[in-house]
Amino acid sequence: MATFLARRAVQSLLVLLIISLVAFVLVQAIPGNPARLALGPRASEQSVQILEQEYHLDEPVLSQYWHFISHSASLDFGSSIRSRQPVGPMLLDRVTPTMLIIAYAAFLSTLLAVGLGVLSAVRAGRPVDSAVQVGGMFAIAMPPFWLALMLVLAFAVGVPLFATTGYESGVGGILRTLTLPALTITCGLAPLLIRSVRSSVLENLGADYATAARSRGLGPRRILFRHVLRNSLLSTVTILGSSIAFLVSTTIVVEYVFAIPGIGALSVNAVASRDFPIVQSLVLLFGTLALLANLVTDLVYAWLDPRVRL
Amino acid sequence: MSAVLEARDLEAAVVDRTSAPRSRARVEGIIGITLLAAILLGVTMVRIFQIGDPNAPNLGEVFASPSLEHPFGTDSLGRDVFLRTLYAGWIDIGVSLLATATAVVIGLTIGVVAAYKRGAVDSVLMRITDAMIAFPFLILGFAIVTITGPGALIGLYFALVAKGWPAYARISRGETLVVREQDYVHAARTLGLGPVRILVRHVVPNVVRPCLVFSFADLIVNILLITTLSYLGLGIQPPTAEWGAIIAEGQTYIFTAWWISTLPGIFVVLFGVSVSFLGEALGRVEGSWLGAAGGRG
Repeated sequence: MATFLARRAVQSLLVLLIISLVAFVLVQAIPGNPARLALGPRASEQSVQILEQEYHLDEPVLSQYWHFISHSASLDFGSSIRSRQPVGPMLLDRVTPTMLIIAYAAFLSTLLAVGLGVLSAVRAGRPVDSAVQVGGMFAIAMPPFWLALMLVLAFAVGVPLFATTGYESGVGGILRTLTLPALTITCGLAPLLIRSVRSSVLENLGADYATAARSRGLGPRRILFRHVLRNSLLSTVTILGSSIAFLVSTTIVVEYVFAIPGIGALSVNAVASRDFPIVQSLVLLFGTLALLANLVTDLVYAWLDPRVRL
Repeated sequence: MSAVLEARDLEAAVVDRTSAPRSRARVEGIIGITLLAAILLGVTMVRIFQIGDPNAPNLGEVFASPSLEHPFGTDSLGRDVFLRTLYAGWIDIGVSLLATATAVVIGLTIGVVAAYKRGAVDSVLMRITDAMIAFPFLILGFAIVTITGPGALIGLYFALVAKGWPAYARISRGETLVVREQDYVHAARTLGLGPVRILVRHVVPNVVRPCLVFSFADLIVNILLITTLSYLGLGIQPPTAEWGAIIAEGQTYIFTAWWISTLPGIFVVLFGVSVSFLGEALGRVEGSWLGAAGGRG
């Protein structure tokens, strides 16, 4: 365990270094003068120079990189070129709804995946199974922003059960405002999880221990829920962990459609106006998040499956 | 729930472990290829013979609801939404296909080399691959668009390739690790063939299939990514016809002219479903050119 953690820590540091390089190279790769591009063609030469100095753009590349990582390491992400506000607090203000949507969608997807995955495994090859799989193909092919729009259309005109724009805190507010965004994301994520649950339930049902349990006279329900399902969830945990990239990406778009004041709208505007300190921070933030998600996945996997020795 | 879990169901599930009946794969294959052929035919015909002008405004006919003359209705400038959807397909499908193919080539090369070399090369390449796979692809797209500026086609292409290659690298590495220990590879090495020839002639042909099976799913993701970036105003810019941009333009009028956003979206879904049907069917039917790789039986 200790050696595993140590090895992973070193690996994670390496990956963090790669992520920071990506975030840094981003600004270097902008053709022409990033300060000029961000300020627009009408900005004076002097204000461009001031900005260059502020972001150390006039220094050699290596010392720029040093400034970048040393500031980032002390959680100072610079300030937005547009609003002049520090990026760190700006992101922190908006991170709550984004994280809530991600958690809500992950919860709904897992729930749906276990239900439909077990159902289609138990009825493998039957119409129900086919319907679940074909339905999944349709769900995966839907552009998330389009599905979100369709939900807005349905719920704003039809059933005004959920809010179609904005964000409210508190349990009631979250359920009212974040249910549709979470549903949109679930449609994209659940089919992958359903497939995984289905195939591992099938695999486990055919395993020796299931046959042994059956020959001991245990009922099918008991075998399924007490033995098979528990083992089948392992692979689902792994898939959920590696889906964090998908979750984050979809959340950003969906937030934008539902006008939720999260990271989504902020980042879209930042990219459109080439506000590079914000984009850099996003790369760092989500790179680190993905890294942590992978680490947690491995730990949870080991905790669930005693055969895995870390 | 209890009715679901009859004993015979469980027994049946254990006995019949096939993913789906062969007949379903055939039906899906037929539906998939017909739908896909129809879509591709429409998209290429309109483009090659320049049928109609997707950008010509017709202010006498704004917000016409769907009819025989305008199957998807018209938009705020009176432009035919169906025609725009077909023209958009050329860009969306074209760029996605090109990017998917590039990603397959890059990923395959990296994966095969990593697995064949092993050692430090392998670890470094795979750490980078892991980092890239875990990275949210939309943020990656954002980063690349920040570099190229919104609206550059080349930025979209790079974003798709950057997102795509790591999966192929991982798949082909896994396959190569198996293939490189096969007798025929050992035999080729014993015969004194060089590594390049062994990789190209003996390893790659056996590794490429699972990559191609995966590329069907990847193509759909690429379509979604390119439409998403354009929907957000960071990809292809209006007035150029593009699926995401058309849907974004229609969003303003969603409550008065629902068809502008709704129908092109359904078109995109049908394209994606036809690709998935075809991919599934090809992967599952033994004897088809992707058959052996499916292995999902």
